[in-house]
Amino acid sequence: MAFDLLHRLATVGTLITGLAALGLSGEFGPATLLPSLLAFAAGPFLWRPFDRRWAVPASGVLAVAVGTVTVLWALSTTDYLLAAILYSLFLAALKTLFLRHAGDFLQSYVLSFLHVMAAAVVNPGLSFGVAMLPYVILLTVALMLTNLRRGIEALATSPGGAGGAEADALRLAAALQRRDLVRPAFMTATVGITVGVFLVSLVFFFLFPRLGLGFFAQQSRRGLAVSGFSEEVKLGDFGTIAEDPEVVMRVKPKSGPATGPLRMRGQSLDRYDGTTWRKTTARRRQLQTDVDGRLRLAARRDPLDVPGVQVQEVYLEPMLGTPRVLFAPPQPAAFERPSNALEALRPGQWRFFADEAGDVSLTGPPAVAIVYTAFSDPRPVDAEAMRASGTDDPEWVRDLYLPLPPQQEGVQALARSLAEGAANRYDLALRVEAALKDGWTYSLSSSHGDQDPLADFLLHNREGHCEYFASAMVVLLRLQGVPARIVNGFYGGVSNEYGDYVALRRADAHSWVEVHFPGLGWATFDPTPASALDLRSATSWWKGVSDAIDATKLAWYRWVVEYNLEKQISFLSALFNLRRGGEGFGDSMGRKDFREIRDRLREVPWRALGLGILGLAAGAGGLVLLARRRRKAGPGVLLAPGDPVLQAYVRLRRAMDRAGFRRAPSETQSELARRVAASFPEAAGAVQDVTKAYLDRAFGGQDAPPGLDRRVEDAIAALPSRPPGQARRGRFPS
Amino acid sequence: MGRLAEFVWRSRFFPRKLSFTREGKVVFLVSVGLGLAAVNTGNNLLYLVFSLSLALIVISGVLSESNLRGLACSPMPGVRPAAGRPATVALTVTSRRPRFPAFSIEAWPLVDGAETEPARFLDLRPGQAREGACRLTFSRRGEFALRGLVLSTTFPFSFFRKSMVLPASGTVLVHPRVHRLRAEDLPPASEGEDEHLPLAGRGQEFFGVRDFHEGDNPRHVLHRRSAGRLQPVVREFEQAGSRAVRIALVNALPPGPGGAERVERAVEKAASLAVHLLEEGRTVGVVSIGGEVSPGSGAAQVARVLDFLAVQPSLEMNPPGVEEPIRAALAADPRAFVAWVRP
Repeated sequence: MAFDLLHRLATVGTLITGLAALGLSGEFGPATLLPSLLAFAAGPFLWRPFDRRWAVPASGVLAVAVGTVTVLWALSTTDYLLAAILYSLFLAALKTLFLRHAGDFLQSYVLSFLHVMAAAVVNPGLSFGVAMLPYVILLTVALMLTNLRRGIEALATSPGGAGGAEADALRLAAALQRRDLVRPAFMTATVGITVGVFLVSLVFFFLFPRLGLGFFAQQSRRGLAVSGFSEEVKLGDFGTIAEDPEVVMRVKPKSGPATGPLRMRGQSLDRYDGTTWRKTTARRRQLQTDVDGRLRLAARRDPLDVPGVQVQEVYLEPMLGTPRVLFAPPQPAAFERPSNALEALRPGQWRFFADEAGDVSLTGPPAVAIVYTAFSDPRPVDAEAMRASGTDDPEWVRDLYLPLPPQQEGVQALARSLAEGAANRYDLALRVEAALKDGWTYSLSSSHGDQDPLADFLLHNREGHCEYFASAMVVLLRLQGVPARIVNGFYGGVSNEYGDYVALRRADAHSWVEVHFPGLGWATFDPTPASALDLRSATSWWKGVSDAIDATKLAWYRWVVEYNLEKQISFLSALFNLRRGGEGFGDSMGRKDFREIRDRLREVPWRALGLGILGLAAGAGGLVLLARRRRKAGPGVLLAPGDPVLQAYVRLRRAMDRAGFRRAPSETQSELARRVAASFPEAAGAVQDVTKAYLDRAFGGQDAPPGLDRRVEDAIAALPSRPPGQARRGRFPS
Repeated sequence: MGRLAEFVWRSRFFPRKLSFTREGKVVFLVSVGLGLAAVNTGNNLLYLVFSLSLALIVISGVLSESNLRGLACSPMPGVRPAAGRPATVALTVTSRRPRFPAFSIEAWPLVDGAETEPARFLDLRPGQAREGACRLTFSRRGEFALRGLVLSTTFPFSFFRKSMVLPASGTVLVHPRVHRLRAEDLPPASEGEDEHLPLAGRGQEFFGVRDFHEGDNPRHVLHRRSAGRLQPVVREFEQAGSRAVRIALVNALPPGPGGAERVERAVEKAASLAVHLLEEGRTVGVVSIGGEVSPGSGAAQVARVLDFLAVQPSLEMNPPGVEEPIRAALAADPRAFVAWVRP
């Protein structure tokens, strides 16, 4: 490949991957991205028509004009970052039309670097990392080629050159078209340097002190909009998000396998007005850290003393809204944040609250993912105890969890019919739950109007999603004087085979019911048909791929996006301990993650990987050898071995060899043809036609002329089969 | 070049010289801004991009160092450039590395007072020696010290220029400018064609023996006598046809401003006159306040005269009797035509 073409392709790649880092943020529409993409892809090849004498001043005027408009627009909208990004995209697109000298190329790389910087601000997702990988490779290659280009430009105008600027330009143009400038040694050096840049970047990234104003802050990310966890939820809004595969949280059991389905309770809602659920439990108390660093919900015994306590580490994605709801399995006992000795320097950054409904929330930096450990009591409440619990609810429970808006007569009748024969509250709850499961159909697409959607669901449509089922059960129980509440959370999840955790997606959003039993507390009931929930958790054929992507995404968030001083200290101390040969890994996050890395490395199929790499290396070596053979293939330096014109010319050359006409090293193909023609005028036409066809093909890229094979036959027939005057081998001269 | 940079370049205390290219300055400033932004915001992806820019800078420094290792440069050949005119010098750079090639190498002699355009090499394979041409341009005549031979590279990213100075010593003698002369600047034509003059020149008769100078005809070397004296000597022939011209250069600073410049113009005029007359085949000598070149002819005399004029100082003397030393020297050859060149 000609040097100039290779350099321009590397430049196109650099610009486009920089744009990809920006574009994959989702912040920019096609109206911004497509013109930039077209300009970056085509601009570097369209520089010839632009004469610098008029184009450079014109582009300068254009840049100033657009810059002025951009500044005015930014001042009016106050979106300075967006304005700066758009203007830098414009400048880069303009610059691509003037890529002539090494300096022009370097300027375009600086602009591309600015795009990546902007992408670092607007795109914290894994797509940024995915774009950075090829960007680093292409930028390194492009910079090295630019360095080479600078040398070529200097050589074309170095002392000894004659003919002035015009001759210099011609020399430069010829040098840039050379195909032998980028030698294997150069490419090998490029690969080595790219690897070096990667490794040194990583070292700097992990070791550069995370100080300054972002002292303990984790990287902010765009919060997920998950309705259902604010203080007011319109009936029907929560359950309809069940199609979205975006992961909301990842749950890793401290013991036992990470398998689903998991039920992660979020918040309960108590007040229903016929169309909307509300949370009216306004009294919140701040949870205090105990001596063990845990936040206990009740001053009971240590949660770890509860038999069979369920301990789960939760990685909760940023979610919109504040205070943020903390998720845990039903019957949560305590929460724990990862130990962070440095947090003492910024007290009150994270504050945990529990309300009288037992829901836990926290305040802290917005749009930041959090990691916590939830302790919960997995033991189900004893059925006989619930049957015997009676109806003596506390007053605050009755006040909060019994009121209802007026219900249609049909709904009341349904409640009465379901209550017939139920001896106690528990049996009633079971009957209502079973009736809804068996008699109503799960559907995400049903519509129930705005007037009385629940009556429509219960009496007419009889189709709905989990929110309708849960609301219906609450209403039916409350009509019978049973305190009940709806609970929003997540149920299901997909176990991730790479990350050893269960990923709960927005599609796993779920509503269920908690019923109060005096003296025992709240028990969970789920009236949604189980078959529908099983269907949601069904795995797809590409689960392996999606698991790998999600595990990579989690690693990206934890180790890149959310890397902070705390992790840095843990990381370094773990490194220090490793160097000292300490007692394995402790409890700090860094050490633990080291252990994870070590375990993951052990799981890597090294043998298969090695064989794969060997196979790739062998394939690459084969391609190199093939290319070298082609280069050494005689006259066909520029043509593929199977090219018909080349084959025709090779036949002619063999015939000329037999006739005693071998091409001298200093002789061109045309000169050889003229020499043959002078000796054999009868072959002159055919020999020169075939030679011309070969030269046109090799250097002009033209197709084979019609009748080429016939002309080759003519030439072979007209040439003697041995040099003139030489006797046929094996015979005596006559 | 600032004083500090000048000091660093000349000093042997700093074996490597590092300077930013224009693009390198931009990259450095962008990196500093990026670092500040990363520290200020705590944005880890900005840290990541900042790390990339730091990695590019560090790799650039490390590779440029390794790119220069194992390279050698041939000694600078003797040259006699003229002030104001570029002189091309051939330098050979040799790679003594066993394995890795070197890329984007530039080489030039480090000479005081010279503008240099380096010899450039796109790559040097292990063990390879390649010759390149560099160009030196001196703004004024004189004798300049050769401080060393510079090998430099901007490999791999063109952000920095790293250079090393290989030890080399010597001087470069820069001749004065030579101009084309107008007719009125030339001395009148000589008298007495074919007259034998007691001067060395291009005649047929033997005149004497002297040491061999660069530019002498090798066929005039007296081999037996050279062997006896252990240095080459040539025979000179008596000049025929014209009287010698002795150029009297008054290299004293005249009163008033711009004296040094006027002396320089006078030196250039003397050089131009001498070259013109010598190219005509005439016998030319030069006398100045500080010394003289005895009359002679031919290419060797051109070199002798220009070498002499290259180092003539501008003397501060009191006006009366400034020309006395010159007149005293001229008195030894009253037959010679004297062309006075005054500032």
